[in-house]
Amino acid sequence: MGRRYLSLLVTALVTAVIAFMAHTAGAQSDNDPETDDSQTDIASDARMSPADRLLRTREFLVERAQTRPRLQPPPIGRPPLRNDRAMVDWDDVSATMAETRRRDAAGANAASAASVPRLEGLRALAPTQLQRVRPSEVDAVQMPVLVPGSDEILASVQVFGQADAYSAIADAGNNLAFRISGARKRLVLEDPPAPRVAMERMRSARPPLPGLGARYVITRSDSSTDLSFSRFGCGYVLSLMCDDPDGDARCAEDDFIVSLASSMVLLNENAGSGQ
Amino acid sequence: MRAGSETQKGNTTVNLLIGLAIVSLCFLAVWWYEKQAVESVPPQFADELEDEGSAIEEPDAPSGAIPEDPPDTLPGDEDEDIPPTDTPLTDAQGDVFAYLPVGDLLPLSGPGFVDDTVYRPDIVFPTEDRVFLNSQVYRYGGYQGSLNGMEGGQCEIANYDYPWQDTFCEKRSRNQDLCPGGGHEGLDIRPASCTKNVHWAVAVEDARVIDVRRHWVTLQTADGTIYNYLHLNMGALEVALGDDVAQGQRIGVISNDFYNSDGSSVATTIHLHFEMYENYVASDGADPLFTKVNPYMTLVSAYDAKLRE
Ligand SMILES: [Zn+2]
Repeated sequence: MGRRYLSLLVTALVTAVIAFMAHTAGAQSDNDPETDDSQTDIASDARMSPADRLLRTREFLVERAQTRPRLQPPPIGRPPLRNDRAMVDWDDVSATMAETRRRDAAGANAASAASVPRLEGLRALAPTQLQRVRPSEVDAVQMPVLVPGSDEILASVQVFGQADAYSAIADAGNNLAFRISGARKRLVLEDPPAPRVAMERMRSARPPLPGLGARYVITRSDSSTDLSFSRFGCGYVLSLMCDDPDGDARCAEDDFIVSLASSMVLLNENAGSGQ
Repeated sequence: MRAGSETQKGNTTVNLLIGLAIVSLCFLAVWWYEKQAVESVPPQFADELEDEGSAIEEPDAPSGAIPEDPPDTLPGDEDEDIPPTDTPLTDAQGDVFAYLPVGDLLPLSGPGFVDDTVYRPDIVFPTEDRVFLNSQVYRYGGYQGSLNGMEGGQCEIANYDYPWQDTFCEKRSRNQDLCPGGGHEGLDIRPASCTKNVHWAVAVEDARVIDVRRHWVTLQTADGTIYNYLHLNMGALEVALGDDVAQGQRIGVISNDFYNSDGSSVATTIHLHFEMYENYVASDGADPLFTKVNPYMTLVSAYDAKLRE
């Protein structure tokens, strides 16, 4: 009988120890930041009292907070290696426009309705042909000033030019604000952070823009849907601002912004002639 | 045999009951141990827990909970061989400036985006007064505040306190490539107090005003960098479309303007949503990518410089 009690006691203790270890391991995995944002955590959090949640948040803030010393402060973060001014490949600009002209001509000569000229590509347009564009704004820019060739955008577009950068804003249709920006200078990052490297991979994985041949990425946030691409040595970003970014297909899906980026007009065709 | 079997069965039952009692005692001990650990509230939060949930409409100057107590320097404590103890940097109100590392979002508020790049080391901070970078959605006054036990109004005094938190790639309903499960590609900046139209936003660099519509003002520098200021009082801006602005120049006052294209209002908290686009290359020879970047460390750097002025 005594031996039996002893074995029972040992079994009970071993069970309790195993249960405790399992519980502790579970608590540790709850604290793992990798799993912080999972739906599972939200579900398990539903059982926590508001006071416990607040306590968890407070502890998180206290544990992670850091301060800056008043004397001899260490550097903050990492600056870029340098800021380069790119060489603009104006020959490529000319070649791309020539290719679009060739395709337009082929389309115009085709008898079949199925072969109407494609809209994709790059065509020149003088700023004087645009009602709200001041030619001096375009003349100031020493990089290709690209604007989507959509009729709605061209009807309302305004350009703000600087030597190595420009932006253009317009209405792109019903309840839709549009902006395109370009930059000739680029920051060279030292060991770019992993998400930036991942973006580079995303860009490589997509097929190029029809007509322009540029690889691109699309990102979406509260404030805009953005399409970023580079061409002729410069960086460009198109932004669409919808009232309902999740419900309006022009912002929520890729097709519309890709179609805008695939059909561009060049407002400063002669900017490269002196360079 | 039958009688013996019943006795044996009785013994087994007793043994099982005793075993269960021991196991229960062990679990009770474990439970008691954990309860004790959880109830050890850090002293600086004891007060806040008491009035948890109360929304203060117009707070006085925030108390400034200090995550790290300044070291005691009693007279006579100094040792000549040890250099004088440093103290943490404080703001104009004397509160210690504290911040969480980049990418450390509040619990359950999204994946974050760890990027310690100070893209523009020479900018000035985008506001004149002190500010508090923290979530507008996952704290008091936000629709997801309850996830963090922060139920109450936006003017809750704890919203106006350090430490700062990053909100880049904070979770939204959409899913996207840059922030899987995220969707907030900017930083939310709460002004010094919960009063709109009194705290100024300023130009971080010399720039051109290239967009003023609905609830945003956009600047572009000569290098191409874009800064987006959202939710200013759009009816009382100090700049106009096409203007050249100088670094530090006032743009407008921080408010909660948020409009649809037909002019109808959308509710939001009093804050400045700040965005930054950079054209960058990830390595020499690569094609540039002109996208939104996380301005968190750029702003930490600019705030640090501002507090040392
Ligand atoms: Zn925001």
